[in-house]
This record gives sequence, C-alpha cells and structure tokens, in this order.
Amino acid sequence: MFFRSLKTSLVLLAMGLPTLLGCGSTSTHTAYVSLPTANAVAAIRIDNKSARFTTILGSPYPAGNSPASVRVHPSNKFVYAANQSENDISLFTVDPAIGSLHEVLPRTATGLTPVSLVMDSGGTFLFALNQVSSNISVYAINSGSGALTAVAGSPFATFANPNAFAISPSAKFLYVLNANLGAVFAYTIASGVLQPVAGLPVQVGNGPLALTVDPAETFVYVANSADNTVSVLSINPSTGALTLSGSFPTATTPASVAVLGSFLYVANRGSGSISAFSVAPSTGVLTAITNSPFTSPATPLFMVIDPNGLFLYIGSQTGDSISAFSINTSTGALTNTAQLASTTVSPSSMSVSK
Amino acid sequence: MAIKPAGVPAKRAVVFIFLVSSTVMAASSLSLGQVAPRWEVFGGYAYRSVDSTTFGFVNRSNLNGFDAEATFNITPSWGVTADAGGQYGSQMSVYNFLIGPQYAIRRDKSKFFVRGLFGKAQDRVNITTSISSHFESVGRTIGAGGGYDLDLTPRFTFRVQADYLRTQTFGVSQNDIRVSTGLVFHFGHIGRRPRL
Repeated sequence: MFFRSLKTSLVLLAMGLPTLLGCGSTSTHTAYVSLPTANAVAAIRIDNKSARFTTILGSPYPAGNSPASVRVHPSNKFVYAANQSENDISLFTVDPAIGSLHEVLPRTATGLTPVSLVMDSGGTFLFALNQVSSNISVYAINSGSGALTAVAGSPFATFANPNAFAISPSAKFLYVLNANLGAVFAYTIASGVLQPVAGLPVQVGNGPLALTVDPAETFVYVANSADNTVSVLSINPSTGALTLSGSFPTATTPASVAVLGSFLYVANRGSGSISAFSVAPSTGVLTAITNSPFTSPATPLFMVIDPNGLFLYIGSQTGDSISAFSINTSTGALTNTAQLASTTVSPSSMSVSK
Repeated sequence: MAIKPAGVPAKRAVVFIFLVSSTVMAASSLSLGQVAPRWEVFGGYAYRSVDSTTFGFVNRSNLNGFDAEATFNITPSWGVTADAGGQYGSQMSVYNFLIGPQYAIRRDKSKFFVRGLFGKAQDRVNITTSISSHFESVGRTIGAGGGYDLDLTPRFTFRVQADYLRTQTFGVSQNDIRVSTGLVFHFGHIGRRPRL
C-alpha cells in the first residue's frame, strides 16, 4: 500500500515539475545599444516587470565604423545603425527567438557623418541626420526585407551643422536642432519628402544638445546644455510651426530629454542627475516634481522611456552602462531599480523593441 | 553585464528533490531482502526544458532527443550510474556526460530510485551573426532526480525518470529539467539469483 502511494506521488511530482520550474513564456523587450568605440551594437533583453537585464548570446554584434545611433523597426524584425565615421547605415535582421543581430550587406550610403536616426511610428521611412554635409537622408523601408531606398529628392538640405532631430508622433513634422545657432528648424513630411516650414527658426537657449516631441504632439522640449535650461516650444498642429512657450531651469549641463505623458525628464550630464517635471497640458509650464532632481548614474548621456511606460533607461557615458529607473506613473517620481547592464564601452544611443 | 541566475526555480527544485528523497528514504525500511541485477542499461527518449532565457532567449527552449545510462549495482540498493544524452531543438542542442550514485528500492516487479549526478555539458546555439553561425560552450553540470521501473519481462524493464540539471554554460547558470522514458536491459546479478 505504501509502495503504491509512493509511486503515485512520484508520478504526480514528475508531472508537476515543469510547472514548478516555470516553463511558461516570459514577457520581455529587447534593447539595442550603439557602441561607437567598439564598432558594434549590443543587444539586451529586459524583463517587463523587474527591468532585469540579460545580455543576449553573441552580443555585441559588429557594425560599421563608429555607430552613433540605432533604431529598431516597429515590426521588431530589423535594426538600423548609423555608422558616423564611414557615412553609411547598417541593416541588421533580428532573430525572433533570441533577438540576436545579423548584418545584411551591403550598407546603405548616407551623407557625411550621420549622427542620428529617427523613424516614423509605422516604420515606413528612416531619416538620417548628416552633421558634416548638413542634410537629411530619407529612405523608404521595405517592410519585407528591411532594405532602404532613398526617396526622391533625398538628401534634403539643412542649415550648417545640425546636431539632433526629432520626428512628431504623427510623422507630419520633423524638428532639427542646430547647436551653433541655438535654434530649432521645422519641416513638414509628405511621403518622406521634407519641406521647410515657412518663417524663421525658433531661438532656444545656449548649446542645445537634444530635443523631443511629446506624444500628444503639443510641445517640443529642448535641453540647453550651456545655460542649464530646458525650452518648451508649442506646436502649431496645422503647419508644424513652433512658438517658444518658456524656459525652465534644470541642473548642470542638460544633455537629453524624454517625455512620458505629462511628465518630462531631463538628464543632467554635468551633475549626474535627472530633473523631473510635470507639464501643464495647455501652457507647457513645467513644475519640478517633489525630490527632483533624482540622482542618476554618472554623466547620463541619453534616456529612453520603456514601451510600457514603467521604466526610464539611462545611458551613462563614463559608467559604460545602462541603468533602469522605475517611474511612479501617478507622481512621475523616479526610483533606481539597481538593475544595471554593463556595455564595457561608452554607449551612445538605445532603441527598445515594441 | 550583471546576470543573476534564476534563484526561485532552483529553490523549488531543491524542495522537490528533498520531498522525493525523504519519501524514498522513509520507504527504505521496507526494502529488506532484495535481489538485483549487476548491470542495468537504459536507452530511450528524452525531453528537456532548457532555461535558455539566461542567455537571451525570449522563452525556455523545449528539446527532444535521447538518453542512455548504465548502472553498476554494488549492492541491491546502491549503484553507480553513468549517463550520456543529447537533446535537440531548432536552434539549440545540449549534450550531457554525467555520473553519480543511485539508491534503489526494489519490489518483485518494480523499482523506485533516486540519484545524484555531476559531470559536463556541451551546449550549442545556432544563431547567425556576422562572425559566426553558432556559439558553443562547455561547462559543469550537477543534478539530481529519480524514476520508476516496471518489469516487462525477466530481462527488460520499462522506465520513466526525471532529473533536475543545473548547467553552467555561456557564463551563466541554467536550471533545466529532463524527463526520459525507455527500456532497461538487465544482466548479471547480486546475491541470490533473481527469478528469470
């Protein structure tokens, strides 16, 4: 009798063992990080609940010379990297099971020194900002292969030495930052073709390094590194033209901006902190969140909002790492999760799969 | 990259092993007067759930393959088991070469057993990158498990068994399970000749 019970118990335990060990699927995103000094792109899996980082086998994957910016396609099938020292773009296909990258050659030529990439939310067009040739290359993306084809008229001229740009969520407008002039230039987008918005560029603060557009497409935010401010520009929803709404103090050397709903985050590279603000929806007036600025890893260079809006990922220029901060969705306050992914060398940009 | 092994599954597996071991040991008082074959050779199908999320996969990987074992019984209850197996999936293959002690409780037509295992694992992951079409790693493995044998004929026995295997490859630890089933061939004997 005892023997029979023992047998039954063992069979039941064996049947339940897979459940005990958790064989179910996990919920994760994949992040891709450009590493210019390693001529490579790193791939990291991020747990959606804990933000725990796991380096994907084989990472980092070789790219071209000095990849400065990386973008993942909304289909999660392709990743693009702008190789700023060889003036081209690498196309990678993504292994769906693990997220590893395989580069598809040949690379696609750009203008001189592509420093940044943006993509419309539908993954139809890819834009490359060419700093030295002072223009923007625009490519149509083949949804099946990921291949890039320059649109008619590309590249489109900008003012001299643009240093950053951002696309509006509707993909109707493109905003280009010029640090030398301390100004933002606006363009309309129609089938990938850029047209300058009539009127003068909008002056912002000194040494602007980064800009972003809020999801409601109401404001553009600019981090002014030389005068430690953030400028808020309101968008004319019809023409895309900008109007300066105000400037607000940050900590030392703001270098990056990220927006989540009605919260704005500014990474202060000099002071190693994140300034957090709540945004008045109609006026764009910024109000510092309690306990802001929040201590961040040293020299935060860029920030990326988690696709689920639960975490803020921060790239540290001197810490050679990516850190995850959880976002209080009610107050906007940040808490360091202590999750850290070493990138061995300084990361320059990050893009997270949907 | 700071990678932490999955601690909760490992703890659960230890609890599982402890429960099985305790139950079997408690039953050992009923196992007096045993006879046993000297050699038991097993071969059969094996399923393995690999904790591939620790090196970047979205999900655990389900592999299928074979498992082969030879047990040399020193006494009717105690023996030494050598295990070799390979399991395969669309993007991964895993090989194990293990050895360890085995404790058995025998009845006329059946047997329960538990064992500890240690040895080496060789993992291969097939992903195409610019520099390689696959990645391989060899590392140590420790594990524990047990199973049930049911005699079919005097020489052949049906076996079902499960093992927890903790493998250290690609610089991280994986908590895997392996379930296998197949036939056992007996030869030789210990003590009083078994009824053949």
